Amino acid sequence: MTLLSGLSIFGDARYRDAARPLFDSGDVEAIEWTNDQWRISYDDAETSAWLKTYGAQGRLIAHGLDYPVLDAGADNLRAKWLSHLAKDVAQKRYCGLSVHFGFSTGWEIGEGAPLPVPYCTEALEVGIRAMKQLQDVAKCRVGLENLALAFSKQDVADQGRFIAELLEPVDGYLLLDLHNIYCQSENFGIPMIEIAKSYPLHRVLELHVAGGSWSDHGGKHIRRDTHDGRVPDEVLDALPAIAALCPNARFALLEKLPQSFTSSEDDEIFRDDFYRLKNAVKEVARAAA
Amino acid sequence: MPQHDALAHFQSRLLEELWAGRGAEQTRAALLADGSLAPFHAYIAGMEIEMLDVAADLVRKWGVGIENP
Repeated sequence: MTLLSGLSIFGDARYRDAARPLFDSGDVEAIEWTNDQWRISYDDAETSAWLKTYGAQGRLIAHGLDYPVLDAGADNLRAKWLSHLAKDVAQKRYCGLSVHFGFSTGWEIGEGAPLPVPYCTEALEVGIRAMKQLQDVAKCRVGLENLALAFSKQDVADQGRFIAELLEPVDGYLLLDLHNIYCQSENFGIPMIEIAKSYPLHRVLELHVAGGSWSDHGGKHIRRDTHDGRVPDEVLDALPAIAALCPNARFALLEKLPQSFTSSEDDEIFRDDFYRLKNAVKEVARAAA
Repeated sequence: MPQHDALAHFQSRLLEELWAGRGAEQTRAALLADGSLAPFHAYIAGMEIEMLDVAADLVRKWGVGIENP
């Protein structure tokens, strides 16, 4: 297994400024493009060049935020999203496209954030149909990312087999977000490795690491997947052991939202997190050797 | 109602209640009091109040079009 370390990029000037030194040094081995920000245009040559270069090398992977995989009443939204996707995949060379497990909180594309769905036959039918529709249009491998938010321990326990059953009919891949697992680990008191093992790890193609934040709800300190802040040590410490269980993993990518870059210190933390990720990936390679 | 309609109804009711912002305990109680959601009552009963509160935060932050389903 050769795990490539890289970035989940955005066509935003704040993001580009922070990431540019990492690209210039040649340390970014792969990139992920959030491909469904249709309403946020990018027209800079730099982003275009990154997408083209990494696409030609088979190191560009896509991620969609808003495809409502498990929204039972969203046939029209899915069709609309897929019509955008058809145009996008005609212009770029993705080696895969993942979307989020869950159903969206919004009523239009671009609105909402995914919420958990009860593991049941109806949801499986909706999700499998949505994944097949996605595969038909994407013209590349399709996958699902695990969700951070869970309403209960039962949600945590169910999500792995739920995702496994959604991926099976499309031979899809798993984007395993380690910070999302960390959130569930902290919020429900379950070891990260135990949660990770509940997923179909042979299907992992991509790993995510990210930062997040804490907030208080009903007197409980809750870990949130807000994609800001420094990547927790616990996430990077867990990466080598979890990656070792993922024989087909190819990408380990750092996520950070453009709006979280508010100072030069944020830029430095971001770059430092990237090199912490690279060091964790090197540990995986050392252990494999 | 067809099965997918039952799931769609549950998801729609959940969003409505979260958007209403009456508090997580009231949200769960309202969903449990809705007889049309009976197939999901066991799931709803297992929802942790704190996590429902997080979900309400998400809906209020990101669900900008929710008043016009």
